[in-house]
Amino acid sequence: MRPGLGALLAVVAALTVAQSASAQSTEQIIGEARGEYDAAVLTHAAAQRALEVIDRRFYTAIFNGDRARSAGDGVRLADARSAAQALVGTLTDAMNRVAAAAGTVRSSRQLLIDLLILYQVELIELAEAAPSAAQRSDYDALLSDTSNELAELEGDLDDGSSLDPVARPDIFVDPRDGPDQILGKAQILERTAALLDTAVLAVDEEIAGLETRRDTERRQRDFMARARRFDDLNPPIGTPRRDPDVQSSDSTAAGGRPLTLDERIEVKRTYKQVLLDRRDAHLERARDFRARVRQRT
Amino acid sequence: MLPTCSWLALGVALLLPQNAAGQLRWSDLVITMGGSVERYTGNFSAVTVAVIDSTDHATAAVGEFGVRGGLILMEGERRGLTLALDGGVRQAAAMGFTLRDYAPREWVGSSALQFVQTLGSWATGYLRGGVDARAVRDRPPMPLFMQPGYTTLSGDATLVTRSFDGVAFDLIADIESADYHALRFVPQLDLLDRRAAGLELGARWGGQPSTIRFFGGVRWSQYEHQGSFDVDDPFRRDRTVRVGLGWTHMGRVIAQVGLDGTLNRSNSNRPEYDAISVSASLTTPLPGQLTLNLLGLLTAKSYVNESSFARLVPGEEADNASIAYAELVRPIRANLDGGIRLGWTRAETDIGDAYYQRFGLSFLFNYRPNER
Repeated sequence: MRPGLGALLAVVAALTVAQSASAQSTEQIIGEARGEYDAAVLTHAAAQRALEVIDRRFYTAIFNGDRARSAGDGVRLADARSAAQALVGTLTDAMNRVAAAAGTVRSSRQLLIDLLILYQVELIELAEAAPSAAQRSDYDALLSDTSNELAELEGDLDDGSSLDPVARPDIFVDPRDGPDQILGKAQILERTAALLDTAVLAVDEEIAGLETRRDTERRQRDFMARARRFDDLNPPIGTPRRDPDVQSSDSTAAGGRPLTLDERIEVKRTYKQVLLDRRDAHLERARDFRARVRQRT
Repeated sequence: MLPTCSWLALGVALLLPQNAAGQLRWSDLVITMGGSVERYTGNFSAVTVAVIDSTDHATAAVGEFGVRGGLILMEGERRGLTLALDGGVRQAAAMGFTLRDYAPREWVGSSALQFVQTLGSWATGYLRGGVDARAVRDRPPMPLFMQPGYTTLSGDATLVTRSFDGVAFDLIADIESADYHALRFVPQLDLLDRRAAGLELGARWGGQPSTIRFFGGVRWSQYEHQGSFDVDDPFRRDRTVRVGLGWTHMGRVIAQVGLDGTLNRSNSNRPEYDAISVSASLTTPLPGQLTLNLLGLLTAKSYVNESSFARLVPGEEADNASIAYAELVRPIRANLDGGIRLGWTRAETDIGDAYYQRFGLSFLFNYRPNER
C-alpha cells in the first residue's frame, strides 16, 4: 500500500460523512497535513546537519590517520584509528536517522499532495455551483494557490534522492559548478575512497593480529583443559585454586563487561564493512560526477 | 557411580539447537580425540589400590575422547549466565604386570553454572556452583597410578574490583564437599571425604599485556572419616595458609609463572607440612602455523613431624607432584587442530618419599564443530 493511503481513505470517508461545511473541514485537514510535512522537513534538515557534523569528525579522523601514517607517528595513528572506529556506531545511527526522516518527509508530502488534489476537485465543484461571480472568483483564486502549491510539492518529488543520507554530504554538485569544479570534486571523492582503502588494509592487519591471539589463547585453553580433564594436573586434594576470572586479553572498555577477543574481531569486521561501503559510495558518487561532466560536454 | 549428571547435561546441551530462542549459544565447543603411549616406573604397593602386583615397569596404550564447552544461557551488557561443561572417557590397555593385563577406564564429567554481574563502575561479582565427578573401572596396581573416583560439589563467590591507582583487588570465598567412591576392597578411600571452606584475597598490578597478582588465603578442611589420634578432638581438621604470586602475560605470546607457598597445620600430627611449588607455562606461535605449549610444575614438600608409618592418606600423593608437558599443535583445517605432546610426571605415592614416574607420548585432535 502506498504510504499515507490509509490516512487518505480516512480523510475521504470523513469528507463524505460531513458534507456540510466540507470546504472548512478540508482546509483544516490540509492545514494539519501541511504542518506535519513542514515538521518532517525540519526534522530531516536537523538530522542531516547532525550527520554532516559526525561525518566531518569521521573523515577528520581518517585524514589524521593518513597524516600520522605518512609521518610515521604510531601513537597519533593509533589514536586516529580508534577515533574513527569509535565514530562508526554514531555515524551509522545518524545515517539511519536521516533515512528515517527522509521516509517521513516522503510519506507526509505524498499525503499532502493527495489532499490538495481532492481539494482541487472540491473547489472546482464549489466554483461551478457558486451563486455569485465574486464567490466564483474567490474559489478560482484558491484553486490557483492550490495548484501552485501542488506544482511545488510535485517538483520536490523529482529531487527525492537528495533526501537520502550520503557519504561526504559536504561535497555536492552546485548548479553553478563548471566541468573543472565537478571533476575536482570527483577527485576529492576518489582520494577519500583511496584513504578508506588504506584504512581497510590496516583493519585487516588488526583483525589478523586479533585472530592470531584468539587462536593462541584457544590452543592454550585446549592444552590446559586436556591436562586437567583426567586429573593429570590437578590433584583432587583440596580445591584447585581458581584465579579470579579477569579476562586480561579483553579490552578494558569502560562500563559493562569487557569485550572478548571474538567480539572485538566482530567489531573490527563491522568497521571494515562500513569502510568498504563508504569507499564504494564515494566511488559511485565520483562516477556520477564524471558522468555529469560528460553529459555537459 | 559414573558422572552421569554431567554427561546427561552435556548430552542435552549438545542436542540443543544453535541460538535456541535467540538466547542459548555455545561460547567454545571443542571435541577432543587422542591416543598415547605411556610408561610408568616405580615398584611399591599403594594403599589406595586393592590389587598388589610386582613390577618395576608398566606400559599402557591409551585412547581418549572428550567434549567441553560453555553454554551461554544469558548474556547482557552487565550480567551473564554461563554453564560450563566438560566430559570425557579414557581407556587404557595396560601391560607388563605379573598377575594379568589391565584395561582401566576413566569417566570424568564436570559442570559449573556461573553468574556474572557488573556492580556499578567499581567491581564485577561472580557466583559459581559446580559438580565434578570421576569414576574408574579396573584400576590397576602401582606403578600405573590413577586417581580414584569421587564426586565433589563446590561453590564460590568472587568480587573483582576495578583498578584503583593501578591496583585491582579480588576476594574469593568458596566451599566444597568431596565424596570419594570407596570400593568393597578399598574402604580406605572414604578417608578422603572432606568438607572445606576457604577465603582468598588478591591484589593485581598492571594491565595489558602483563599483570602480576599477589594473593594470600586461608582454608579450613574437615575429614569426617579420618582420626586425629586425639581423644578430645577425634577427627582430622586442617588449617591451611597459602600465599603466592602469579605473573601473566597475554600478548602474542602467553606466559604464566606462579610461586605458591603452603603451610598446612592440623589437629593430627601426621599431615602437617610445608610446601612450595613453582609453575610456569608458555604458549607461543611458531613458524609454519605451529603453536608450542609448555608447562612445568615443581613441588617440594617437607613434613613438620617425623612419622614411622605411611605418611599420606591414600590419594594425597598427587599433592606432591612435579609435572612437565610440551606440546606442538598445528591447524589441519579451519576448525581442526592436530598435535603431539610429551609428558612427564613424578609424584609421591601413599608411602612418604616414594615416587612413581610417568612418561607419555600423545597425539591429539581438537575439533570445533561450530567454527567454519
